[in-house]
Amino acid sequence: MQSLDGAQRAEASPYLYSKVMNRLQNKTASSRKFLRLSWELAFAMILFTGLNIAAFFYFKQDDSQNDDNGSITSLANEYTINSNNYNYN
Amino acid sequence: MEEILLIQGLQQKEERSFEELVNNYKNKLYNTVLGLVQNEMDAEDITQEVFIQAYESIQSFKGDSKLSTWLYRIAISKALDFIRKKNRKKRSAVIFRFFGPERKEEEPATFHHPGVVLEQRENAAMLFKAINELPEKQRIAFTLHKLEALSYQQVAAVLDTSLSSVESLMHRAKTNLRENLAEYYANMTSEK
Repeated sequence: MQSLDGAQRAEASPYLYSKVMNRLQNKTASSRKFLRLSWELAFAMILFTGLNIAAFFYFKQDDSQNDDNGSITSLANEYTINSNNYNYN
Repeated sequence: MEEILLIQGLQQKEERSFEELVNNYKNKLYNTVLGLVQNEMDAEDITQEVFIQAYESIQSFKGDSKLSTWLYRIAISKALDFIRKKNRKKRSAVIFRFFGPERKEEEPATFHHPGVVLEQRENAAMLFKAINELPEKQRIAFTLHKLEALSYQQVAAVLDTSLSSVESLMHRAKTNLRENLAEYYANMTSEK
């Protein structure tokens, strides 16, 4: 039990400060890199979402035009007012 | 440099103040961490992390305690995190051994503290093994008092507890250590 009595304090490496500074600089550099990557990723996501929304509205409009044409055609068929087979006599 | 000036310098991220902090406290913190983790390379790594955390969170230091107390707390918490992680790894390795190919279990190397006198090296190694078996708080109190030579009052400040609690922790630690050591020596003599 008394074997630790009079024990000297263990000494850290004399280069500890340099090592800590080195780690701090690496950490700052990597966190900057991570921040830049996050911004790039966020920008890409916003661009991707924006393009998708734009494409959705564009094709929706196109579809509704197609739908209108379709309903006119079906109405014409129903009342046999097709320009190809209408008998003017 | 006075402590208050040192803190102000650190809060302004002055490199000179940080260098002074590292040079003033590196041995104290390294010795404490080494006593807890019982491995020189791990202790150095953790000590570096302690200073990095101190540098990053010095703004949150309100001066309610002494700077040394605050640093000891960071060091202890980092060392305990490391020990818990290591123990978790050990436990999961035991579970994986049931399913995986049989691997030879690595025996933890006997720890020799560099500050212990040569004649006491073997006894101290045995004592460190017994310290490892102590509950966390007892281990911290014993390490700070015996290895770092902090007074009970200082230990109480680091552990944020009362003086009587530290006295009780130390009493229980010594009792447990006596029991553990008696067991080790009994096993050793029976092996011979």
